[in-house]
Amino acid sequence: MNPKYVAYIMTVIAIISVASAVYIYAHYEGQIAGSRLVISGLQSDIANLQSELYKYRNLTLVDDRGYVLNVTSYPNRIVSLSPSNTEILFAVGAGDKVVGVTDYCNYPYNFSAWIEAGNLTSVGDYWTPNLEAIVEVEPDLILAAFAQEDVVNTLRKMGYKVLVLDPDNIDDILKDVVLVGRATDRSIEAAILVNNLRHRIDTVLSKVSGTASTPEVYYEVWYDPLWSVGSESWEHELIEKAGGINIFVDQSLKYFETSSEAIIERDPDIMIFPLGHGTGPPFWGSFDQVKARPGWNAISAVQNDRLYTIDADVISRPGPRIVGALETLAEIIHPELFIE
Amino acid sequence: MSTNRVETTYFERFSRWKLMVIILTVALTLTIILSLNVGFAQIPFSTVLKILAKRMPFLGNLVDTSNVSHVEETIIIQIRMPRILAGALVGAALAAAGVVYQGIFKNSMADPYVLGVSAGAAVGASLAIVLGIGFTILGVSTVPISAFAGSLIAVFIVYSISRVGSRVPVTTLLLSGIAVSIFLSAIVAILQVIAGERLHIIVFWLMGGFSYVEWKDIWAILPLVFLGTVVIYFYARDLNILTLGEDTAQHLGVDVEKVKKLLLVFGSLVTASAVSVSGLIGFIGLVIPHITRIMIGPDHRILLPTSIIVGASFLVICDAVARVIVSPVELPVGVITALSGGPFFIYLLRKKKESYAI
Amino acid sequence: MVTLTIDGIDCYYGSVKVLENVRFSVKERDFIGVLGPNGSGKTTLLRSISRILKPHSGVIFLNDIDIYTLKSVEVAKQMAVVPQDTAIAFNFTALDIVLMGRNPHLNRFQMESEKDIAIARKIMELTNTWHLAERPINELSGGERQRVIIARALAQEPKVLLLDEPTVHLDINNQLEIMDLLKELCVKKGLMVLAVFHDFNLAARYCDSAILLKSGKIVSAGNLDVVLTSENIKSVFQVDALVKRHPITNSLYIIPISMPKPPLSRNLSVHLICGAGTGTTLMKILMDEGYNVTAGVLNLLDTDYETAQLLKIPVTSEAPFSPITEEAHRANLEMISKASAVVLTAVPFGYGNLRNLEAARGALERGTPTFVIEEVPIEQRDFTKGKAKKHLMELKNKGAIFVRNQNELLSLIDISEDKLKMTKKLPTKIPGHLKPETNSYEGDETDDIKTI
Repeated sequence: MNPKYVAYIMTVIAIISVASAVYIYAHYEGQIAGSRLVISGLQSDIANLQSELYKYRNLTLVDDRGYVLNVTSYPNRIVSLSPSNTEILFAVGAGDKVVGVTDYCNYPYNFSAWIEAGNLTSVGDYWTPNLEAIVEVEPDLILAAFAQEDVVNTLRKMGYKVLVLDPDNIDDILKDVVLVGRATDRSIEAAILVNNLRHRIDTVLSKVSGTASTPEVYYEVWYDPLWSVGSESWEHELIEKAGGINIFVDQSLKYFETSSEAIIERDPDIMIFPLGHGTGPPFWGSFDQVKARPGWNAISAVQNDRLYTIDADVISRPGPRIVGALETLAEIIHPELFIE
Repeated sequence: MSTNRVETTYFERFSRWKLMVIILTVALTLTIILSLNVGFAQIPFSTVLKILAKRMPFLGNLVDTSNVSHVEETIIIQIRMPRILAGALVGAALAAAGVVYQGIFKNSMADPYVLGVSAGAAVGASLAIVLGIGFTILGVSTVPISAFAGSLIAVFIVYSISRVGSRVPVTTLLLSGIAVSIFLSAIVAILQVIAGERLHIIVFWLMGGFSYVEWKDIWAILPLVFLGTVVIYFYARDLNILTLGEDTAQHLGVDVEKVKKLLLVFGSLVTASAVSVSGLIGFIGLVIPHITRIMIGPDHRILLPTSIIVGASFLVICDAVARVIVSPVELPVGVITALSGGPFFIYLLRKKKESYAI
Repeated sequence: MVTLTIDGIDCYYGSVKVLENVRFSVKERDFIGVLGPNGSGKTTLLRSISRILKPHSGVIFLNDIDIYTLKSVEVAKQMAVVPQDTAIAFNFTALDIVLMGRNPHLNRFQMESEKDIAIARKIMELTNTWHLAERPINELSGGERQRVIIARALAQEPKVLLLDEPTVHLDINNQLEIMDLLKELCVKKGLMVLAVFHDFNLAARYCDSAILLKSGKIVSAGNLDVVLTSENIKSVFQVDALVKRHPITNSLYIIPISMPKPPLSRNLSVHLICGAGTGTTLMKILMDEGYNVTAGVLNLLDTDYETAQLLKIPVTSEAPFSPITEEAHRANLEMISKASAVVLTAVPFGYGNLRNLEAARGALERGTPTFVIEEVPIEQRDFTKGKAKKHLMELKNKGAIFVRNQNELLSLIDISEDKLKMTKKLPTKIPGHLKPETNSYEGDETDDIKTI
């Protein structure tokens, strides 16, 4: 065929496609504006019909990324995009409003049973939450976590209310609890919880402040290759607050790869391993296997048999249970303080 | 005698080509529409059609869409449509670039990533991820822009290294491409180590996918991909002749250096655009041109359009599978393209063993 | 009038000079062969003319325009190239390939029209490739593929055609067909042909003129007679060749002759009494072995005489078709006297050359070892009603050594020469084992040694 005609035809097709697409887009933009109004209207209607427990507020919420969200009512359909956010929601008493969770959420309830029963929607995994699933449950608040920028941006553009919780330390976690409490009209419960948590933290801190020794602690994130924690991780913060010192205190990264040599050289007094909830042995096998690692018998912790486990979820999730991890660590690191 | 049979067969081929392109385009449109039906949300097909019809300039008024929920519309128009169209665009772009590169290098093992586009994009994207994304420039996230810039810079480096006077020898290009890619991959590895907790993001980007594609991404790459493929098509006959060898092509009146540079520039542009939106999806640029060549022959005047349409359809289908097979979790598209295309390609190879060249 | 002028070009590959000051001019209706040994720059010359390798100095003019300033398309409309190797990466059909030759005449958005196909068809029929039109190019044999490539070049409707060993893969039938076609196009349509040949005879048959290259320089250029001479061939190729004009085709033909260096130069001479071709091989063999060879009496125009001329062997000659005169006979005897051995081949005898037998007897009487080769029994070649046979019997009685074939002769001569060397002091004495009382054929070596 004559390429001239091809060029013509292709140009015509292109123009038509572009025109249609622009039309669709523009058309939809107009619709979305209308939809937003409809949604807010609906929400305010629902709120009106509820009991006076739900009050009108002009609420300004600022998330951990500095994003400012203005809301005029409290959410009834919340989607959590990370297990830690789920825990916070339930801890402040907003669990009854949660309509969507990730596959990894497992506390404080066995959500997979709920999902199977159809009472809760799964939005997929942490790294790529399923947009359609989120949109389908028509959430009026979405709690995201770090490393989810893509989905957060897309959702915000589509008009959804998204808050990103990304705390750097225990203090930030507590601030997040307060924020979630404000956003869900559970400020009182949140305040009580935070108070409680602070008290427990202070107890631990005061207990360990008087100790003579500061044992060196190694926390293993993964084996083969060996990964441990640096000073920007909260495992590190927990260890320090629990009266120990992270053998990799000089490493700033949160998580990084290391080697047996480094560990043997730094000679920790205590070694702590995370224990997950899945079936089958953990990635480190067993303590015997750990002790049998080549060259590890030179480590003080091995020689003194000071190997411990800790619940993997509890220590790694930036939620209320982190304080429990702190307490456990304190007991491990300074058992002498906890002899009853 | 078969005096005129050969001639008539030859001229018939032009109409055969037209017919083939039309049929394939129809098939692609059908694939797109059917693909709209696939996803986590169970939306009845009739609803899908209604939503589509509503957007058509004339049909819109004829269709009753009162019982179509806003959610369903959002899902179809805001979530599925952009990602399917992106799949089509990216598949088309990669297939076109693959055809061009295989023609220029006269080597069926060439794919659009061979000159460093993928490695450059990986460095750009990883850098943007490690330095902390969440930025948007003019509403476009930094990662795709960075990936696009990275790939063009990489290709430019490869080109500069290989240039000898005003000529760009093909073997040198290939070797420089390999060298630069290896070097840049090492940089990506280093970035992955530094990334720490952001490692996952890099890995997922590298695996390729269309999970959060928006309409603006499509507007961003559509002009480039369209322009690129059109320009490339104008040089289809030159490509035919180039496969005979550069000296021979020169003897037959092709301005070899100019055509080579032009094709390489537009091939890279088109690939860079695709990669910036979708991450690194492999297999399409390498194998789709082969598959179409086995089915249709080596004449680029039909090979290009066919590969483009086949590439687009193939990627749309693979993306549909990727987002539904372990729903709600999504598999990386590259996994699906390789898993499905590989065996099919092997089957084709064995079937046409005798008549396939190189 | 289309002209191609190569004006003193130098070409380099990197820092190596491969063509030096090459200067010549070609016009319409020229059919020029480019000849030379491997590495002499023939292919390089074609490449520089076809704009692949730009000369460092000097200009190539196509119709008075520097060819390197023209666009590829312009040049391709006038000049076509048939390269040496023809591997093609993708499986286009033969017709596709030929149609690519029409590319210079089509602009970017034009497709091939009926006119283009008609041209392709005509040319493919001429090159005997039309029946291959729809076959994939890589399924064709080397020869078929080459013809398709030639067809492609012709489809460009060029005024100048450059070919690099165009007939390399073709069988003799196709070779001649293609070359005839090119010659016809040259003569009738004015096509200028410039072709590299390895095969002299093919070049000689079709080219009017030739360029002979050696180490990048033109050694000789011009008409074939001038370029293709034994001297030129010897100096350029280090090969001895016979250059003749064939009576039927009226073209030169060249017969290369291999003349290996003799292993030793023996200071001994052998005189051959032969004729009618019976001595030709022996002459060469003996010369190769290092002997000085003489021959006689041979008539002019006798085959052995011609060979002797070629090998520069001293001959006692006689007028053609004439019996041996007294003069010739005496000269023959003179030659024989200087020889260390005499060999009588299985030459047929008529009254004309009967005297040669007498010469053989003369040799024997002088004491020169005389060998008689009886490949063919005398009865079959005696045209003198028994006289020759009688002579031969006499020779036998006088002590001539009869051998059955050349091999036997050679083995004997070798031995006798060794023995001759050993008895340097008395070179004319007959070594013991050659005494005529034995009729030994194989030469029992052990016996011979014992007698010494």
